[in-house]
Amino acid sequence: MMDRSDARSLRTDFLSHAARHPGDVALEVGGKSITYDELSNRARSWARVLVEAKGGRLDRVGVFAYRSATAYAGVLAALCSGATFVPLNPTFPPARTRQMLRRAALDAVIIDTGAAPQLAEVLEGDGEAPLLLVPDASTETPAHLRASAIRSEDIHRATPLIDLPAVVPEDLAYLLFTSGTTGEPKGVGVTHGNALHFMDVMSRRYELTRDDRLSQTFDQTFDLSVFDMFMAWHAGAALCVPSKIDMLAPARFITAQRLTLWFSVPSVAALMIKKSSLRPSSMPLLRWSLFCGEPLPRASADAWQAAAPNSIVENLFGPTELTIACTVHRWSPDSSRDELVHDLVPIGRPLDGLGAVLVDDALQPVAAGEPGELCMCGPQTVPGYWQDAARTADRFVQLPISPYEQRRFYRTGDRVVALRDGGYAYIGRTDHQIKVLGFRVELAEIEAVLGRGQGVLQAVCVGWPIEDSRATGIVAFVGGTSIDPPALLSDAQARLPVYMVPKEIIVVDEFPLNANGKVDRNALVARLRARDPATAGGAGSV
Amino acid sequence: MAVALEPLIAGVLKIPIPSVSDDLEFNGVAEWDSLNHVNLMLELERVYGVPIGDDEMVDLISVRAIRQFLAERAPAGSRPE
Repeated sequence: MMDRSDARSLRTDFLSHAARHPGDVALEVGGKSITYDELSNRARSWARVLVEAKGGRLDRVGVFAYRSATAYAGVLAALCSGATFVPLNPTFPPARTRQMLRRAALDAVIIDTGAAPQLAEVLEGDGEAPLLLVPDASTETPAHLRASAIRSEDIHRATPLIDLPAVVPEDLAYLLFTSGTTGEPKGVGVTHGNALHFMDVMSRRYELTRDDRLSQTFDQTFDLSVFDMFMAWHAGAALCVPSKIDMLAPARFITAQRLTLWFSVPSVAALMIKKSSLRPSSMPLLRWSLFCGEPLPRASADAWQAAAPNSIVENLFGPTELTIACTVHRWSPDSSRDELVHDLVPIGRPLDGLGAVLVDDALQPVAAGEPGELCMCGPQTVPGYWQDAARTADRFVQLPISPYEQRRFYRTGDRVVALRDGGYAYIGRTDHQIKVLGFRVELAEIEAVLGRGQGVLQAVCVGWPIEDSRATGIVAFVGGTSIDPPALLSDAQARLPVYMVPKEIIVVDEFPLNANGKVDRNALVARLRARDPATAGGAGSV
Repeated sequence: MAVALEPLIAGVLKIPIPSVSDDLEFNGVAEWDSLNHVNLMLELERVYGVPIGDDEMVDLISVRAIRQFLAERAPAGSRPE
């Protein structure tokens, strides 16, 4: 039996700041400022309602919401009820949300006004619905789900829960679903211990204070949002949430919100450069400019540095399985030039406390200076994939490499090369995972969805077009008989998030094969490059 | 010669011309994403000769808003019909 006496967890620093400085602003969202006191009262009150309805601590609570106050209070309410939070995204197709919801076996779901109309569809066909908490009293819950819904009078009458159910470091803080190769999203559970290690290392690095104001550009279904929320709240700083419209003009948002820390995918900077809206010295208040999620081109780092001259530009790298980020490189226009590979900023050195090795296909260490697959160990390595022991055993391995024989490594699937300064530079993937505008996409998942279509014998997807070495979309090649591309496309739209839906489906009579008899993806990309010479830019790691 | 708005928008977004109604909005179809929004703004600047700053970028998020903006701000000779 695990000792469940409460330990420090992801909620702790937020709650202690709320007790010390209740009037500080914790959250700016939808034109409203919400103080630490208001946010913690809301989270604790919802936690009381959930715990009383369940009759004790909850295991997993979904947060089905998007860039609303409820989305953030919901995450904290889940943690205050002792539960793992599971972000669900109303901009995803309901069929995908339903898959996640079923896989996660939720005790409860907290729903905002924007997500509520999808509720009937995402809960369709399930036996017993989880507890439903819809804080907005004016939002209608579908009649057949009312038995599961907590009454709005009960939500609004609830007082803050004081004695929170205990949390231990081994408990999962959050469960996220990323693109999986089998045609279904795969779950990654991250413990409080994993997350706190990351937060503590990064808090020492960035030394944020109550005066800082952080961006929140990432959707909550993207784990980098955990950095935004909890780095802000650990420091007693303000979390500033742009709407989708605000994200069309990031510089305007940065100025209006007086942000001191910016964190986004590099594609945002590339778009600003394209629109000439990244003007020199236009963002003087920024102290930190952080990028993660996809390769950072040198030109983007340079332009951003010039626009935010008082900020330090850093490139972070890391998969969800290693808790938000596991390496970091501090950009310096002078010193970094000779470390560029393919004109991309290096991914940098492992965070304090993490170990890294490069291995070949046989999991043997590569010779010094040779590229290899990056494998990392340490306190940020998550326990594994949600209810998937086989896949966990495949990616989380022990390596016969001194001094790490007893450690558990995660194989990132990223090919990197070691640099002289002890850091690494990114080269490409060892498999068919790509990033589209920062979103992690297993091409095999799209291929599996298309492969179920009428008449389809084979589907192969590639990242296209490529701009600045990065895919901005996906093109699918399909082979078979009597294929109906519009029908395939609408089926893909119903099952996949927008960034995974092919921009184009091309029917082929036969696929080009390589020497091993496998479909030659490079030859397919070459066809697109020959067809669209204007958009072929850059070598790219597709 | 003035260029009609619908085919321009349809061309940038790569959608059929008849689907470009006044009610069409940013994110209303998958093709009108943030990347294509920038492409659309650049094309409007180029074709109609009107500068579009950050303040306009976040306002011009429907075909109706774009049409009104061009009627008021584009040089007389280049306004869409």
